[in-house]
Amino acid sequence: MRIQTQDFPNRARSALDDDGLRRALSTSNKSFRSSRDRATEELPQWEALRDYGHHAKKRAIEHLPHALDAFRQRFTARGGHVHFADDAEDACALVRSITARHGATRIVKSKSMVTEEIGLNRDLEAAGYEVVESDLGEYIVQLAGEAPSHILAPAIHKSRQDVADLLHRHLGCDPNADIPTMTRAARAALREKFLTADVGISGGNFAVAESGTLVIVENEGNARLTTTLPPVHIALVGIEKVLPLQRDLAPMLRLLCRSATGQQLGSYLSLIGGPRRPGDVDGPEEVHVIFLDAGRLDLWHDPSSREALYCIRCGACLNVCPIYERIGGHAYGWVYPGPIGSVITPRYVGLGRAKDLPQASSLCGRCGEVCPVKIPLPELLLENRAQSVEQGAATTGATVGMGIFGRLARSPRLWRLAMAVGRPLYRLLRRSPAARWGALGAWGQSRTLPQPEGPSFRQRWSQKRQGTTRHEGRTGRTVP
Amino acid sequence: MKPRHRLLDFVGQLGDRTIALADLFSRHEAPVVASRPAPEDDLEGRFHRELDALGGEVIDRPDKSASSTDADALTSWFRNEINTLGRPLQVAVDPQLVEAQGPGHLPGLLNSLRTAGCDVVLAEGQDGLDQSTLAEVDLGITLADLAIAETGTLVETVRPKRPRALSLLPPHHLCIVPRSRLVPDLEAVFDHLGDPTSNDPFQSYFTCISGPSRTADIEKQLTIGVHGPGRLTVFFVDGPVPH
Repeated sequence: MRIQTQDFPNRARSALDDDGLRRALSTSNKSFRSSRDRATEELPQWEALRDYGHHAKKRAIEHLPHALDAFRQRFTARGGHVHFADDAEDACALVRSITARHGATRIVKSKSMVTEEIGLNRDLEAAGYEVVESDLGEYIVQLAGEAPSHILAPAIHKSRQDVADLLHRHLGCDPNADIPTMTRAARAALREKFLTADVGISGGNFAVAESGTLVIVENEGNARLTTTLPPVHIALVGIEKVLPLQRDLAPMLRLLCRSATGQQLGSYLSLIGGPRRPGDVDGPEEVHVIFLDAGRLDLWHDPSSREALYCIRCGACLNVCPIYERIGGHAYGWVYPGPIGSVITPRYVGLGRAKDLPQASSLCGRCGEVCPVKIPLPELLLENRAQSVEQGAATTGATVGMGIFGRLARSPRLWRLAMAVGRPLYRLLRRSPAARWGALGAWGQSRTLPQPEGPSFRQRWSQKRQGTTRHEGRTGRTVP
Repeated sequence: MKPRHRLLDFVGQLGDRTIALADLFSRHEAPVVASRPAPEDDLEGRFHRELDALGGEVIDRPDKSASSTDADALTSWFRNEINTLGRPLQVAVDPQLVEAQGPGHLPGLLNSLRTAGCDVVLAEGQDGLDQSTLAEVDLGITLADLAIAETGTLVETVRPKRPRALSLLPPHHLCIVPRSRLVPDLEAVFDHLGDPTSNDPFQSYFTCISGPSRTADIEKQLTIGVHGPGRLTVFFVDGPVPH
């Protein structure tokens, strides 16, 4: 996908002005949150499950070469093919070599964020293939020529009228169609593609190392169709999707499904161990799993950020993020939005190009609280900020400002002096137009600056040490 | 410039390839055990409730007396479906259900279908049933390999002469579930699998079906029936032997 992360401030600002988008996001996030909360609160062992998930991912990631090798052994033993792709170019070339060998013309796809990363659709279309997205949300954004805006619900930024207009234009659907009618129209249009596709391309939710099993979770049935009907199935999977053992799957599925949509399980799980066997009536003749690096190895080699690889792409962090809720997925300028997006995107596209993303956080910590595998997202965001500054991304103002603060903070005398001058100055400027400029401006533009109340901490501290047990503040309230 | 085949080299840099994964993974820390849900007495009742909540249906035996057979209940249900549809039902059937002497045989099913007025297409593989035929059929009937009470889930693996698409292409899926194949939770399915490197068909492919197909991609409004079947019906039998 084209990288537009450097545009974040502008994109965020226009998103904030888009009332329709904000309404859609607010509704969507609330809906996701209440489903997720209900599903997790009814499980008394939810916290223990999260610990389990964290450790299962830790085991797989710490032993990543072994896990990938084990998967390859088991999967190829059953007649499947396993490939390792370094980057987007590698992966796209691999896919094209497979499709070319089969003389394919029509390709049907089920949802895969990894294929967005590598721009697979564009690459295949440029090579003359017809590529059809089959997940309803992906189908909609494909018709609109847009990128998905949420990991689970790609078209959530579109109103039903937007969708009706699109389907009217492309399928001749009634422009006032209701949602069930629109869904039926999409089903009919896509059925024909499933039945005639030469190749099906999917992603993968988990890759179980011990058994060599590719696991796909979905609700619509399009992934089952994509991976069952065409004679060739290609799955693109980030290397971090590995799970260690077969017995890890049940707990991880509980974590994923409840965190993502509040379901106990997705409507359909496909557990694929290889191609059809001799004597099988249907199923693909060839199955290829392409494991993708594309920046993940760099994350792996940095111990301070390795935990970002535990992500199981549930979307729970997006659904609780106050920033995401106000600006939506497109503002982030690349594939992954929200907290996980701000953690991994700078690593994949470069901290310099994406320096605004880790800043787009209130550090409220909600993302860390809901992550089913306990990725310390707030800490990783701070780590990105720290590394970003070390690489020189901080503005002159910020560097100078922090330098001054550092000097003052190291000297009690200077600090006292600064406070003695600063306090009355602040009270003076707080309500004046000056609050909207300069250093205060970033805050003062859209907020009233808070009124300082009562004595300063140092004053209270020295009074306490002098033996005063009570002190009345300016407002007359008693302060112990 | 990054070295080519960086990922391939990364995977290749293993020390001892012969360590069993389970040992390798537990080397550095004690295994963490995930708790399972508490076991339940009435598995069938639980399954029923869960499937209802998902928008599926369980065929209730209207007359629970000894003289009422599975076949009677099914015939009555097929008749209802035909009445609602207003024409004969086109039905594709899992060969295991009609193979006499086979472990999945449900006696009287074929008769039941024909008595009620259905047009039966047997799933016979390359000779009998291709994808486009399956796509035209109204109802696909399969025999469950397992069923999960906790989540109202049906589990189907690869079986001879049965297309994977039998429970996927037709707009309505009827699944026959032997009570002996009902297990408490998802973990039990993996217990059943046993050795991850075995030749069991489960290791080649299986699917878990929890309710009819659904989406909420447009304005987060739930719609039932997208690409997979919009109707899912289950019928419990005492019949076939457990795996």
